[in-house]
Amino acid sequence: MEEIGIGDVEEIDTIIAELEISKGKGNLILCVVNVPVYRDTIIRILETRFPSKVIFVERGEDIIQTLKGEDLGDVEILIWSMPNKLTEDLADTLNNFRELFYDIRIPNLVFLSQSVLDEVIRRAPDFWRYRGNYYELKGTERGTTFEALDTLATSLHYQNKEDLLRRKRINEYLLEKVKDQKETAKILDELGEISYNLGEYGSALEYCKKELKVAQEFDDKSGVSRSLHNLGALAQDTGDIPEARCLYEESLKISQDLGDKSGVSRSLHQLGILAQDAGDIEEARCLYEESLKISQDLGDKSGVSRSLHQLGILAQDAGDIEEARRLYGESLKIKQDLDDKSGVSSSLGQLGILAQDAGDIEEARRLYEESLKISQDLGDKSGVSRSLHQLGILAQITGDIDEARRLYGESLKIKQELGNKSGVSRSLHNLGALAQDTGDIEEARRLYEESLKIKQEMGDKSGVSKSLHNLGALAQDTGDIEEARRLYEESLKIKQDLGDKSGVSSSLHQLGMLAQHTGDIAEARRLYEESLKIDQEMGDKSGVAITLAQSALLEEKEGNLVQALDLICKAEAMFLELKNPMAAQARQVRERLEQKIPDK
Amino acid sequence: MPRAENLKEAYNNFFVEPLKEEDEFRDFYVERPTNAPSPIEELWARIEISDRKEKYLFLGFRGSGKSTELNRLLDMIDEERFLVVSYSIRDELNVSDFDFRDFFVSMALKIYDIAEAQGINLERNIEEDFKDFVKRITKVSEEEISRSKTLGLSLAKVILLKLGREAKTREYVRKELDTQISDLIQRLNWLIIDVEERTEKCVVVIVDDLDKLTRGQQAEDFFYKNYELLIQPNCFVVYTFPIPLTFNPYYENVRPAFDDDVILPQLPVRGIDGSKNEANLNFYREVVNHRMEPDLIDQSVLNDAILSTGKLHEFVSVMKDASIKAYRNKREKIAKEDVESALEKLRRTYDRTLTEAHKKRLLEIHDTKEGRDTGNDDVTSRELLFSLTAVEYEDENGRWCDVDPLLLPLVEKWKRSE
Repeated sequence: MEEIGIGDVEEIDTIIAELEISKGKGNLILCVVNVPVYRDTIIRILETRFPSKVIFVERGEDIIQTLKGEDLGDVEILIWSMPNKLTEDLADTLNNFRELFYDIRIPNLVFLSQSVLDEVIRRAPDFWRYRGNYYELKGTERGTTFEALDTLATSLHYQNKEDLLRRKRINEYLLEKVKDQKETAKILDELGEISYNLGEYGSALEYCKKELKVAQEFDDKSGVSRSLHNLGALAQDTGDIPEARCLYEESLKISQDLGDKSGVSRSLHQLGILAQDAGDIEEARCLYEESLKISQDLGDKSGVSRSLHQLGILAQDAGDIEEARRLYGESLKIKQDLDDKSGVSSSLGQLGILAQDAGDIEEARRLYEESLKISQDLGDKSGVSRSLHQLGILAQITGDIDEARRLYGESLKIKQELGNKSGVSRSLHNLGALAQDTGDIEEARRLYEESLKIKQEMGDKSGVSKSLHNLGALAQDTGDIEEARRLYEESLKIKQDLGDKSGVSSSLHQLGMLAQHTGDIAEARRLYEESLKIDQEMGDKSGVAITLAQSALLEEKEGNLVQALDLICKAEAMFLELKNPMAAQARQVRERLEQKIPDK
Repeated sequence: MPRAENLKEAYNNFFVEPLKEEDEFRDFYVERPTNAPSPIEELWARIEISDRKEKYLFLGFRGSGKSTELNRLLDMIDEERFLVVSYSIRDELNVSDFDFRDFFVSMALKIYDIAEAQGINLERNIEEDFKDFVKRITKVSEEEISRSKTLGLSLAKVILLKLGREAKTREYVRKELDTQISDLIQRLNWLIIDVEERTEKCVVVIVDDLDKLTRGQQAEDFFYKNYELLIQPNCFVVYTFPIPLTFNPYYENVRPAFDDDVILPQLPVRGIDGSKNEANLNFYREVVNHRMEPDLIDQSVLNDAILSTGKLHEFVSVMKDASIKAYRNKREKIAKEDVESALEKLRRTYDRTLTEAHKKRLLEIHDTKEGRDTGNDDVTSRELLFSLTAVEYEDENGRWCDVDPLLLPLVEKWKRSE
């Protein structure tokens, strides 16, 4: 069974409270949940609290019949689950028959995905305006794969795997024939890249080392820079991050000395990926933008498309979905023009993640499958494993656990063959989440710990901090508060070292909740305040408002009603300013507090 | 090719096409004067001894004898050590709609074609890959190739024909190669390596008529925007180069990228001060003497013809025209009026094409002996040099310009109308 996300516990409590006070009234409450399995978990929780009727809507007629014709007996709440797509018929029904929801005099809780909600706002505006409250539930962390687009020293165009294998045979033949050292270095470079694209990292490493040796022998600085860069990419893919950084920096230095702007751009790009993986977002953005500028000046479309892709990931990470979509779209267009099939496959994968995040499961599946097909045609094992992983996530969130396990397992196997440690750790993490979903806590812990171990070996501090955070949440859910605290604290320490302010704030918040849970109110207060301070410094208004609200609840519990009221008023004002739906919850808390303080 | 003994034979011996065949060289070729020798011997020596696959620019005004000199080079290169791929872009492509992408396709196809024609068994993967690639970028189907094979046309010939004749094919190839030009050059180099490996010879590509690109902008795009690509083929390449482009300041940025720029100078019949250049006059006289008996023209008439043209191609063309005129007038030899009539016809043709700006600039060139444009946007001098109404010479006084000698009689007329 899907665990309730920590951040959603308060929200669900509020939904229950709202349904409680709405009994006998036809209130319309909307709730956005993107993951079907998570939605079903929440429905089950609600069913234990209220006599309910759940309607899985497919056509408009389903709504009209239920609201007009059926005898609902002692049902206290109606739970509506909307389909993945808003058909015209359904949009019309919602718009034209919205009064029926109120006429029935039973509260209505409507579950829908983010993408359907967007459609409702556009195509069923009358229904949207008629709503009462509105919630967004996030669910648990899925460990979404963000696919960084590595840039090698040179880039190959090829039609399919056969084409790539033929190029391999040609280069192997030429390697024996060519006597010129510069040509030899070029052939070794291409053989290295072919092996890399085929996922044969061992051969790739051999070719790159030979290329480096040849280039050093005849003082071909450009060749040296090229092979160092490729060795860096191999080190990165096999998880040796410090070595990768060292090699990229060495390559960068040579390119700078040579005035080889293209070489500088590709090294900056890769260093950007390392910074991003380490959670240093600002540094990553700087590096990508610098790389992008050089590629634009050089008219290097391929380089431009790669930088846009990475900036898209940063935007997606920061929750700026529209910007991410724009950047991915721009990058995809260039790759299609360049007939860069591998790049197209990556863009489709990222757009699939956007669709998945918006709850448009079918669109996400279509995009992942298209991406998978291209990777299979190209013989790109790494791409295949990524698509399988994403399809595994889709299976997991639509409740097909066996299929999810199969897909994750297949993906994991390829990554293990490739020696792709970071990919292996991601698969293990998701298999852990799957075990957690099915209630196998011990297996979940084992897999999370295995994933954590790899991240530690790789020196992926950011990944380690996230794994520790997840293990902390697992411990918290199983009631092991001390272990949870230890893990959150360890995670916090790393985030502090990395300067990951947002992560630090989140850890402090969780530690605050633990302190509150164990009755250490002073400590909880201190931690919330610290978290609040960081959010304020970062200008994270949403974070500030949440912590203010959390502090208000704490003060309410402690009987400091005036202080609680002051805090919740501030939080409500901020939520209203942000047009955040949590304003409604804040209002409820404020009204409750005002009732408790007669002179207010 | 016997020397002409009458005007009918003379008419036929004054052909303006470059010398090509062995007997043509034997009978008609005239060594250039010792003070302005042909640079082709030096170019040949460089190819023979260089360990690097050098790239050369071969410069010369149109009609100065470049193609003849390139044909000599072809003849001089040791066939045991070199495989020469020599072609004219005018024969293979559409020079009025031409760009670098068409050019590289043509170069690769010519090398592939010669390998096929000489029965060189290319490495199977390289050959299959090349064929797949060109079929993909030209959208030529397997059926078209099979059909053409029955007509005796090779793959390379079919594609070159389509590229030269069909705007749609050119458009498609350019679109495809916009992003894959480096892939094409890589395949070109694979072919070169394999051909060299299997024949144990070095490939030398000689590309003629690139100087005849009909629009100046086309030539600038080809040589200046894409010069880095031109040095990428992994073999010796001789590119003919339009001399008017050397007047563009950008030339100095491009020139060092090539291993040498070889210039075939015009041989001025007069010095910068107007004095006659006897050595060069003799060269032109010898051209005539090799082609016809000296008594078919009076020496004074011949001198007038030489002094009024001063450019090899134009001179031979005037002599041909004068021969037919004399023949039709039933004369025994070419008379002064035959030459005058041929010159006047040519002069009128040029005069018609000149704008007032051109004439003004020609007067300036005549006065200053300099043929510079005033800036990057000014192309007047380049247009005049391109059309050969202004001519650049090189002699012991260095490089200098003047109005085409043919047009000198018009100079006074233009001055009066200013």
